Amino acid sequence: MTEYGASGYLPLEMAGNTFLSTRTRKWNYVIRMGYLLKEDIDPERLRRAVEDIHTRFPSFFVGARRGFFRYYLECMNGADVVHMETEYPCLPFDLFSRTVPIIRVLYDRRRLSVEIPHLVADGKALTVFTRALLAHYLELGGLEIPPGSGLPDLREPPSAGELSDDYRRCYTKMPGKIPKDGAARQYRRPYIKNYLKVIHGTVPLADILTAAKARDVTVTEYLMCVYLYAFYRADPDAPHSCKPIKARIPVDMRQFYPSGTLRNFTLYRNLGFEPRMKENWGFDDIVEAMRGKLKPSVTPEAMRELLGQTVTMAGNPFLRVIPIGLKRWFFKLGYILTGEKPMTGVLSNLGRVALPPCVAERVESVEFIMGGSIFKSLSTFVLSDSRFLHIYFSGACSATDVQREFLRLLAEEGLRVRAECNIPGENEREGGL
Amino acid sequence: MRCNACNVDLNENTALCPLCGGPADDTPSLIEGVSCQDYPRYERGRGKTTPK
Repeated sequence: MTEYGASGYLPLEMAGNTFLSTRTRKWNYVIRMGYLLKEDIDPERLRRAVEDIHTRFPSFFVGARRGFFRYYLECMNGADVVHMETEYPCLPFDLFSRTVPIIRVLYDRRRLSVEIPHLVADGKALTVFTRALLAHYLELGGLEIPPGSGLPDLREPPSAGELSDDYRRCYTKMPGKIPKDGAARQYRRPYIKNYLKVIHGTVPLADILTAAKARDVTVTEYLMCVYLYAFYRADPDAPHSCKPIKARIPVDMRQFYPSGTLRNFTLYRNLGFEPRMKENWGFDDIVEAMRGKLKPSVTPEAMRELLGQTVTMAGNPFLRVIPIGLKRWFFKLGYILTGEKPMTGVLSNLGRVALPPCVAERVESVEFIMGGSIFKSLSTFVLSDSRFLHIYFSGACSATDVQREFLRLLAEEGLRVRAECNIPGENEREGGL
Repeated sequence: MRCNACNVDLNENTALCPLCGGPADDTPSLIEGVSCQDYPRYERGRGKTTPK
């Protein structure tokens, strides 16, 4: 019996608690993963596929619940979560709904997408879930997927490891506090409710690999430097700022531990440069300033230490004994001070989405989007398939200044770049340069 | 289609560059084999919570 199956309830883990605590009445963090297929979606077949995989992935069909001391996720059955897509991506959920699980499976012509609140799972876990859903959907349409394709067996029950809170399972108590991360320059543009603008950049994989190699950095380091440069260029006051421009780089902790959890298990590093240290930063200057900064900060030892310190702090005995209604405000304040202030923008590299070859043949492209935030105007996700690197900029604002600088720089560097927007014809310049 | 100001390829059905708002130029794309993303048409202001 799994941790979840025994009671129908699953205590929320550390990151989930933070995401739930930072919600407002009309907003919460939502993430989305989607696939653009080469054929139109059949809604009835998609419904059957969702029903079939429901019991295999119970942690994705849940509702949030309040206990006295902590939050829980409750397993939910029986509601139709498949809908045609007619609204902006990643709109907030009614997290405490008693009738509908907090998941949306959306379709529109060739596009199949899954949206969940970030408190349920992180990007890697959502990738596992959507890959299994897509493969099963295609299987129901007659596609034969050979065994050993790296997909979860739908006939097996979920393992305890998939539902475990790996922040708690894997950490070892560490002395000392988390090193203080000073405030970074903030990128804010007017927030538009119930709206999400997505700019999708496509770059051939060969081009980005060549560009990163030419500068002797990894792809993540290269993109991080482009991102920092784009923020610097898009903000006319940045050169005179005493605050650094910093990118948040989420780090998947599964690479350091034997973990197969399908919940949150990510920590992050904030890295950047101080504009006032030099006049007129060029891209070359930023690459040199950032060289060698990322690798040492994400070694297994450094990340284990960070995990230990973070979980030790979150498990503070004082915090454990206060009621959840009060605790929420500690989490929220802590998140604003230590989670949001020390970064200018998020840049998450999910890596390659590995699909079985027979499934990949039916897929045109993959997408990953983070919903709009009341704290941050821009989030950026990078992922790749076998041919292209996809860069998704998303934000609940109409500004495109950072995106423009980012993609223009890639083009200047000699890369072939394609830009698309989810709202064709809308090209407001407000908030831009 | 391309935007000459931003030096990027654009969606075949677009008239304006999503980055700078400039007009799309009817020149061949540099990247081959990428099809239009076909984004849905959204209705602004609807759907504050999970569809019921």
